[in-house]
Amino acid sequence: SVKLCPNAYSQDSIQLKVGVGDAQSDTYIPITIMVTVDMTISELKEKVNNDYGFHPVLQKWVIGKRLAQDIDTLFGHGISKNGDHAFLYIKSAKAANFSREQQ
Amino acid sequence: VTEDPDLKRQKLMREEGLKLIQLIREGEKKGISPEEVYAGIRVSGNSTVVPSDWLKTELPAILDDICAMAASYRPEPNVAPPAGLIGVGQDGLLEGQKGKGVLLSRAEAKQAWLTAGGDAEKAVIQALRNRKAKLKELKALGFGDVVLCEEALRQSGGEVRGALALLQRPLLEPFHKRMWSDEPEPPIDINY
Repeated sequence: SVKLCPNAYSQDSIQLKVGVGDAQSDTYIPITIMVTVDMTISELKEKVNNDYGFHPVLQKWVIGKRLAQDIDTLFGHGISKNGDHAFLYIKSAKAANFSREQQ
Repeated sequence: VTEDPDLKRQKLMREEGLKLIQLIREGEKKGISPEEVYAGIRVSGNSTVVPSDWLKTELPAILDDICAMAASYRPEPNVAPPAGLIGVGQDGLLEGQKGKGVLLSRAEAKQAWLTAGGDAEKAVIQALRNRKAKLKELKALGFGDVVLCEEALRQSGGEVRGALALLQRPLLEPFHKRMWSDEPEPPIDINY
């Protein structure tokens, strides 16, 4: 596997445009999240959990036509500039067999 | 024998440098940054005072002063802005809240105080200028309500990303409600 040199791209944060949706929404709610491109999806999930209270197991991230995996980086999915787009799909707790106690 | 003035100056420079380094070293052991040590010495005007003691006893009052000055700051009408405020016009600095001033968090006051090298008045100008830049950033992200933005910035210690999260939280509230709902997911229309 290829390891990216951490200095090969900017450590500055960029504005990621995120459309948030779930099974019952027909439109995506747009929000902006400040990220660094070397962030992994699992780090991003943690950040969203901290800032907005959605447990990582309930978050599904879609970038381009791909479902992003926890170990992927944003950069690996082509996220590199202010205004780049991603989608966050929130699974229902029931569908994820997730209970409030697990929060 | 008279000492060479240059040698004397060099000796003094070295001694003073070492003294500051020593204070910085002591400060670091107590978790105080070099900037804090330096600003503390400059304001107390006394290098025999231990900066960590000074920061503990005197700094809170200075930060209160900075917050109070920012809160009561009013741009003077028809007067050219002070030199430090270049680019901040009369309609700029406190747009939408003229005469109301800005409520700063302690974190912002401290950051500005350090940037201003311990000068409280410069720190106020600095903090207000920082706020203005942050308001502009939030506005570009779609949050134009100055009062809401100011409050979010205050709560987040002046951090734009924190303020952004606070401002966006209500937008995602419906997802929280639905997340726990027992409503079945919409049936899949296989003809679609």
